[in-house]
Amino acid sequence: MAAPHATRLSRRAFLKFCAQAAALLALPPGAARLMAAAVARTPRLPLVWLSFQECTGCTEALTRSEAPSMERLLFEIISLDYHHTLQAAAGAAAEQARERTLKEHAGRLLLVVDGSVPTALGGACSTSAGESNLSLLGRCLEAAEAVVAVGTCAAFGGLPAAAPNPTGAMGVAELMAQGKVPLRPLVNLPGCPPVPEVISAVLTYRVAFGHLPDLDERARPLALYGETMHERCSRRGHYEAGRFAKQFDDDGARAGWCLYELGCKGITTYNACATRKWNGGTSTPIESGHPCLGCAEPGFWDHGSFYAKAVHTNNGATRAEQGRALYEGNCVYCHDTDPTRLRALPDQVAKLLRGNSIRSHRFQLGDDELAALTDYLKEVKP
Amino acid sequence: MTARLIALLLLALPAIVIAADTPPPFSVHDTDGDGYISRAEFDAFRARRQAERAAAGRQLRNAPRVLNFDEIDSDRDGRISETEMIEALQHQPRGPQR
Repeated sequence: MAAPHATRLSRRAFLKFCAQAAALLALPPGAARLMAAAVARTPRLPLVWLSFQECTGCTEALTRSEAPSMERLLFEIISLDYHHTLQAAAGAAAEQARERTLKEHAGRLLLVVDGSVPTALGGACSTSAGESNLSLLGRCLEAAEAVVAVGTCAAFGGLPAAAPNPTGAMGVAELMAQGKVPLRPLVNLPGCPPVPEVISAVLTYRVAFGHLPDLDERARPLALYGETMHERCSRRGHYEAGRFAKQFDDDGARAGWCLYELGCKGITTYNACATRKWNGGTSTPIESGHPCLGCAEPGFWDHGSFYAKAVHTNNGATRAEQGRALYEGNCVYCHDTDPTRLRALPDQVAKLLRGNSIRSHRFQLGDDELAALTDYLKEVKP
Repeated sequence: MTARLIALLLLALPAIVIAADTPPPFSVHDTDGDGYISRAEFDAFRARRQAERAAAGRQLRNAPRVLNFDEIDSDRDGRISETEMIEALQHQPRGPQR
């Protein structure tokens, strides 16, 4: 098997890149070779990268990924025809290059978007060459076979969409849902910024297999965003044992205890940090002693202080699943661990707990929690 | 007859006094019904919970962790009272939801 453009990169580096991408996507061992063979014989994928209301952090992350220069290898498999930040061309020449690509590769180019799109004031808050971001995104989507929303801003609105959201910022999914732009297959790669190898792995997958990876209900690749930070956390053992750092400079913090009580959002955040890590697999924020900020989740900026305890979020879990967690986190200590043996009927439980007439239920559950508990009990005890 | 009644009352009195001192059981895991969960009773509950979690496999991934005995027994008297249980449940970190 020959690596593409062998004069520019070594076979070893090429195979290493494919192996890393396959491993990150949780593909079986043989997939790396299949991926390498497919990538080697597939023409480069035409790609247009649009940057809207963003900070260039996502592009920075990609270009600063680990050696041997992940982005250089990546650029061997895609034809990055237009990128606001990275392209050498400027002014009218850059616009012409984009328009040419949109025309030549109509219907088969991959669109990558970072940053959210302003919709207030007729889109006047962010324009490029006199054209609003919304109009540009719409035109590019017409020519695209699919779109990858890179970063939390493009996926969920991010910082620009934080309350009071003066620019009416929206992520790509919301724009599509509201019919403001054409519908196309969408992959969300949230994170502020996303793990760089996550971006390259998804692009490689598309080139190698000709389709997009399996996604969850928020259009995130399951292989990369299928688990919370908490599930793979290096401090998980301390959480299970009930050892929590209470302050950043206490003995618990020094001993590497769980950072949950310092505001860690790892339990509600789906991201690949814990498996892929940062800076060439060196570390993660949590490993370095700082709580997870939950940057890859919707409403990242509107969920209160970074240092407030994580609160219940839906995270795609059904109400019954939330109810199960409540039952297992509270009820099992006094009632049978098997909820089907609970004497009260599911519909009675909320009333009994609200009424405070029964003993030992002096702790408070909110209306949402009671509804979740009822749903769960109805599911297991119809 | 009266003498027998008095004798019965006298015999029953210590039991009545003990019953007044014993709080009613608050948990099904209080298997001896003394109103407290002993360490052995709690260990049995915890072991059962962990076995159930292991059997459920991935379905229970991210389920709330089971508290330790020492986290609940705040007065360190080797047994968990109803008040201690309520306190511990009120103050436990609310775990993952999926």
